[in-house]
Amino acid sequence: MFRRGQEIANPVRFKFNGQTITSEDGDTIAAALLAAGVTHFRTAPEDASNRGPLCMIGNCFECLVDIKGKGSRQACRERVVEGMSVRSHPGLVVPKAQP
Amino acid sequence: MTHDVLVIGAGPGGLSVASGLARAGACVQVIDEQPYAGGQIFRASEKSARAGNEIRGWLGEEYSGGLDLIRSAKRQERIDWQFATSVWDIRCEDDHIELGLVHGETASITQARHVVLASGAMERPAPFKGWTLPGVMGIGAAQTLFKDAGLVPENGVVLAGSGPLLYLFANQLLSAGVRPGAILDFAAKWVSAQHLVPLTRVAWHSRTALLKGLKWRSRIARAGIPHLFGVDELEAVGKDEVQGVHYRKGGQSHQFETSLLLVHDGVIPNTHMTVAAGCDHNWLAQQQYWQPGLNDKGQTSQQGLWVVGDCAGIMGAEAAEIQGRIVARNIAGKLGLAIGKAEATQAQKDLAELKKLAALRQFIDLQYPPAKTFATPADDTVICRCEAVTAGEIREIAQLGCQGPNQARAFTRAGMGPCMGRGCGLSVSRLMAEVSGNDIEQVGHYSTRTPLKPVTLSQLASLNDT
Repeated sequence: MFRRGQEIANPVRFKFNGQTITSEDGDTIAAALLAAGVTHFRTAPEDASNRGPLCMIGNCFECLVDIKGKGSRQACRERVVEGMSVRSHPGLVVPKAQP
Repeated sequence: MTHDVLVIGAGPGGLSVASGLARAGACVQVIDEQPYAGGQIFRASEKSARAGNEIRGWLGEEYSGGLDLIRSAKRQERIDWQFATSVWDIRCEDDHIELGLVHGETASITQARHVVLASGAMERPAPFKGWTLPGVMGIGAAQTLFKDAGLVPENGVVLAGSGPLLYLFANQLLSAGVRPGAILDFAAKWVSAQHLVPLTRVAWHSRTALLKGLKWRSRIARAGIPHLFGVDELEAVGKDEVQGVHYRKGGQSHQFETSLLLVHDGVIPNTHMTVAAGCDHNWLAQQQYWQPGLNDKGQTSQQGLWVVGDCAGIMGAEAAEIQGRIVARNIAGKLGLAIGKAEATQAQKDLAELKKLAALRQFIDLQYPPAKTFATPADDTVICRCEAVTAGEIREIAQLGCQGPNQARAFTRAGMGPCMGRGCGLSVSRLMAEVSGNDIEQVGHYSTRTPLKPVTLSQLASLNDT
């Protein structure tokens, strides 16, 4: 979907759903994830559909992720920090109807 | 520290108003969500200038030109910068305005007699079938990634919608060595006969802007990028993410494969804060958006609350800078600060220049009207993305007699999710007007409440420590 226009100069490593991602220092979490090929940031709680960033300027809240120690935050506004742990929102698990 | 004026937003409007006031001798605080000045248009301009990298060159003069404005504001000693700070509350009292701020994990309350909102614009949410799939984004969003992180779309990206931004962004991509798969343009290829009069009115004094637009278009054509005009419907297809786009043109359906569909239907003022502050708003029918009602000085219906730039109505960065200078002079007058002779001469020039830009904007608005298809989405199209509410559900409750957008919230939960109605507000108002046959002014808009941005209990608890 996206690629880096330039090579990473100052690498910062963080975890997304347990996987290590290397990004550029100063990147937003959203930019770092998109550059690493992640498109699915969260699962919508209402209809369990996949969601990813839409507006990138803090309005749409589609890029919400869970940052360890901080809770639910906008990935387009939070910057990567070495060693941080980020998880996607799992959405609502709908129980199966009983017969 | 107390400030004479608080400015929200460090884009061209906010930088200009803050510089003007600081030069007149006022103490100003500028608050912005980003970690640096520039707003969205000149986003990360200082960062990329420091790095001395190629990205600035790819983005071109439309971007790099903003650095002077930023640097000149940064030289003002009377400006106190509050970056990476969000506004979660705005409260208009009799003789002052109070703001709730949050920076990192710390909240604070600040106040001043005058507050200038320069919170800019957002891309008009453009609902269509499949637009919730990952891989559908705004063109402005992709441009933000370009400016802020140097990310560029892969070859084959499809740009759809209308407005000069399609042409500018396609040119920036070509400079970066990216080949878009197609441009699905909702606009007509040439200016229609009925728009020739407004065009001739602006042709001479806006020739630089118009020629630039033509240059962008001809470069797209020369590069051999398929540029289809008169497209009138879109659908994003894919299972877990976008795999392709279906579009209609001249009654015929076609499709392209792509993993990234970037859409743009113009920009609208960011009115979340002016609505929360209780300001009066007007509906601009031609561009289909709400804008705060301002007096001839730039003040809202709330005493001491001023608006400059695109959040007062879309006029672009150049106009925002001029409006900033005008409002700075008006507030300086209220504060009893003397204005120099040079400033007074500038005032006349500013008004004349603003008039020219308004004429150019009128032509742009006519040539690139909001697309019909996004204003009248099919019943099965999700319009409130947060709560997965469809256009059909809004039409249904409107038929049942639902009394406007705020009651629609209670009936459907539209506008009740984390974005608090920023994404679906326009759609809900337009759909309810469509069904009831009432004017949109009668239908009204969502109310907005504190907190304007999410704030955690521990952030709120930190208020005790400050």
